[in-house]
Amino acid sequence: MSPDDRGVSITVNYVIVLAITAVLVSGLLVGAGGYVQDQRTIVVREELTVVAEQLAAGIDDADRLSRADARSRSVRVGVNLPARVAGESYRIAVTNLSTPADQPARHELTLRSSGSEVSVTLTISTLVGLDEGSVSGGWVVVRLDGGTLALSNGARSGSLSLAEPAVGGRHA
Amino acid sequence: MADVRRPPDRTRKRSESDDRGQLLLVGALALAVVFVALALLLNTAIYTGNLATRDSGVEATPAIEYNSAARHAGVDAIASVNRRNNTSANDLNRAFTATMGRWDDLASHHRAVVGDAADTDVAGITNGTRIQQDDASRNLTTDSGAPNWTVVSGVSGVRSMRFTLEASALTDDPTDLVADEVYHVTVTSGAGARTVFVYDTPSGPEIRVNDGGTETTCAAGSVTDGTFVVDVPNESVGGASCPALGPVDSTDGSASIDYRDAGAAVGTYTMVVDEPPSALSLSGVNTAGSGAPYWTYAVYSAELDVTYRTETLDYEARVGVVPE
Repeated sequence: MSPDDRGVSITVNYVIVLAITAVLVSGLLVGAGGYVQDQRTIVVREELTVVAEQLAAGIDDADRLSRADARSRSVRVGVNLPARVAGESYRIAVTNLSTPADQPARHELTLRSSGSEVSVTLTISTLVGLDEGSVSGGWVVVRLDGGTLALSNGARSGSLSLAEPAVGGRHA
Repeated sequence: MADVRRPPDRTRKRSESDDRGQLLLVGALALAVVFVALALLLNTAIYTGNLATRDSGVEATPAIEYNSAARHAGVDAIASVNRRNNTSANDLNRAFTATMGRWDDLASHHRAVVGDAADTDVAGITNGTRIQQDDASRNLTTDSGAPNWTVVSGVSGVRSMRFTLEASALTDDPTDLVADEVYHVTVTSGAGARTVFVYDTPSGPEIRVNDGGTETTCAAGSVTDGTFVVDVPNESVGGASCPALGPVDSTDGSASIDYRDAGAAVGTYTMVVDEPPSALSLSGVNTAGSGAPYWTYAVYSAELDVTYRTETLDYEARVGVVPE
């Protein structure tokens, strides 16, 4: 090998190492980025499922209380859901499904995250009707006013209160 | 051997080997960011797992139990005050609200231990009249002995209808229930006429319920000391189930209760109707303490306002309390 080729060998070596490193690093980044995105979708879906189940539990409680034997009643059940899942806000929509007349009413709870557009649907059934509508995540109140249940948002303090507690004036 | 490194060149500011390190550094930093993001996601996943196993925080069960307990307390209170304080409607109402007030104080203390606020108030009381006969050796005629009579009319509800009758005094083995003068009680209302005939057969006493033409026969389960009980709310005869009695005290609109051939039955009876004595004619029935049969003041039913509050629940209900 002539002394002139030495510099060429070093340059080639350098370029190859640089190229391999660049390919490796960008491959790693792309792969890891995709992995993180997949994981994020999975995590958001899982959390939305859990949140949907919790809301369903709250609606079930309100449904039970609305059916408990009484001449008239009003019910407020607060469900403390996380305001964000994996850093994204989300929205809860209630849609009614058609049901045969002698069956409990069925409803779909659809939770959709704002960023990754992940959507989770849970079918629940209640004996008391549930109004269609949508609320955002966070503190959700299930109300019974009149004959049907409805979801609403609100501040944690105050959104539950039905009225001033009656003074027990009839106690002898 | 050939050199693999370029000899150091002092004229350049930085060597290429330093630039190589820069690429690795940037790559490592970017990867570190990715790992941090992954760690955050893992954290969210763990939080989700925590959330999933956490109690949802809403507890309908205590509220429903409290509602049910208040109703039971109301039923017991009505039964108790009707037994003890029946000298006037006012006494009854005072005693009932006082009893419920005491129960409410105890129950709200009990719920306060777990941090829940509970309250029960009396929202309304329906004053009624109890009509009864205590003399077990007397037949079921009026105070003056008339066998066919109207016990009460113009009421919209009757409850706690019970007869304790002597088996030996009943008509034996009738072929025609009306012609053979079998004792029967008829409850007539907008829901129709329901008649209960009571008679004796060689195999023991029986009743026959005529519900708008449909006849059902029930034999008495057991006869104790020669008597057996026809319990309308419990739907039983001498302890044996008789579902046909179910509709007898389910009235609709203005109702009247009539006894026919009441000389053919001996024993005691009691019933509570939902009108105060002042609104009823009550001919054939004495005032309390002056002979049999007689009437007393009674609480027919009550309405309670039940409130139950927790951190995540606000429940109010008006509950009707009608003892059986």
